[in-house]
Amino acid sequence: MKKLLKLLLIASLIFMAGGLAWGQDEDEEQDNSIRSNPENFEPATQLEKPSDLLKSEHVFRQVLRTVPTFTVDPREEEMDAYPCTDCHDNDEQMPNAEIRNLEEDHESIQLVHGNGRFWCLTCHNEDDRDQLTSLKNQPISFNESYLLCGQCHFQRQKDFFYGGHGKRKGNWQGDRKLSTCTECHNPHVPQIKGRNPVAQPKIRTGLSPTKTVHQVKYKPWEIKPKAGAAH
Amino acid sequence: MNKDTTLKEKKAGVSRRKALKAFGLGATVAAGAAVASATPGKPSKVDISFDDQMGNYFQDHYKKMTKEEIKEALARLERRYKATYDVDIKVDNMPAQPGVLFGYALNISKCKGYRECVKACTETNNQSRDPEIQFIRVLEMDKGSMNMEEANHYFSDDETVPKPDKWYLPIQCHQCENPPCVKACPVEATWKEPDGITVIDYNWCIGCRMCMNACPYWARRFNWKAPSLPKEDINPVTHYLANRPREKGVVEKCFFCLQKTRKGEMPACQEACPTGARVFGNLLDPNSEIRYVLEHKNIFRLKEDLQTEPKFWYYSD
Repeated sequence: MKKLLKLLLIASLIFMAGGLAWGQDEDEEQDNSIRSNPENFEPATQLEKPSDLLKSEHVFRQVLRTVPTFTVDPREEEMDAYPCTDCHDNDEQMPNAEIRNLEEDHESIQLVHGNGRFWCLTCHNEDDRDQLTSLKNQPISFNESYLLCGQCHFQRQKDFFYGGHGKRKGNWQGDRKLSTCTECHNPHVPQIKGRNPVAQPKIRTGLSPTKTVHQVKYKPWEIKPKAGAAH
Repeated sequence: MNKDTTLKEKKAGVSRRKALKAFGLGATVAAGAAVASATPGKPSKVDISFDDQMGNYFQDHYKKMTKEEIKEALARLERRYKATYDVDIKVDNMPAQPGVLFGYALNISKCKGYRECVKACTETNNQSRDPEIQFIRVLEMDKGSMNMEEANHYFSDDETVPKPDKWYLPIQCHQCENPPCVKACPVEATWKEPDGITVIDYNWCIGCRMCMNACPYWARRFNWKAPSLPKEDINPVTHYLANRPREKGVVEKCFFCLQKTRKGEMPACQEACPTGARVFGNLLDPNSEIRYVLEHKNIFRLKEDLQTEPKFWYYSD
């Protein structure tokens, strides 16, 4: 019996020592693997044009799908001060990159979006005033705001393309027409404010809007004690 | 049981209904006056011909009628609505599209309780304004709880929604794949159509309200009084099984705007939703929006343990 215990002790010691040595080996390997291997390095694919995103492919549960085609209503017609080149057409009206309170023109714009990280030229194109711009300074039309917003909100953008975000207009069958981002969200203050709802329904006959005295006092399965009963 | 009796009648050669019809055609004017009280709106003032009254009284079950009989029934209804409301209402009987099974998904993260869907539904589907009949209820519940018994159906329009400590859950007919209301109906006045929508033949309904008792989603409404529908509020595009004006003493419920969706349009609640919380589509189309939502979002169905298999999902993102 004692022999067996000794054997076990020795065996466990050897095992522990081996474990330590193995752990050290692994640390060394990890040190090597931290350094990047430029030969196998593949950069993320960069799109030539922002609209190339509409040709991108996604794999959903082993099924390859491309972004389904859709149209949106043009937004340029809906904008009050479009085209922007009506004012911003000469050198005097060059954009001011300084972050400041807008007082003379555009004083109604409160840029809440991004909590001070953005200024006008983050999204508006400096060179072509009638366009928006991507973060890579590629022009994006005002009608295709979903290409711009999706640079940060990419998960929402994917949902928008496939139908999990936004709203399909008019039909469930046939040509897809979607409501674009800026129809619902003000791009400068994207969070939608609450408002009063449509009038509540009248209380249906025989029902009470609040709990009756009996409902407060007793559980639904309890029988109401008769008046004058003992206890 | 009903099926057995009808089979027996067929074997016997003369059905009870045919015998009654033969009797009814020779009925006295007094019988006609009794039938007139079953017309919608204001019965005493409505001028409906004796033939129409008789035709209405002896009209067969929708699924048993031949094409000609349905055509007659639709024309009869149109004449009746013209006499009652003085509006040219078109009653359609468009069948279900093949290869279509309707499904609905509602984003509870997006729903803010504006009740726009309720308003649009009432306007589109010719529901009674007084007493109010609404297919959709928006429940207001405390955040972190889902006790529908304690939910507020009547949150006020004086206060801004969404309230910070509340969340909103609209419920309407879930168009169950295994509908308990259909099993409960003693006269088979309600059934599931091939596109998955449970419909009611308002002419066949006897108003026993067994279906309302059976429905776990509080989806069905009963016309205790004759529905009042102002002439200017009537939607003249109707369907026999859907939004044609109802009468006193019948049950009604949401039918996913059958008269619109069978033509490829969206239901009124989806069109009205200001937040985009509602997704509607064909469950059999793997590229539809509804399928994307069902495959990629956290979804649940109400009272799933009852095994009614609703085709109405809630999701959050």
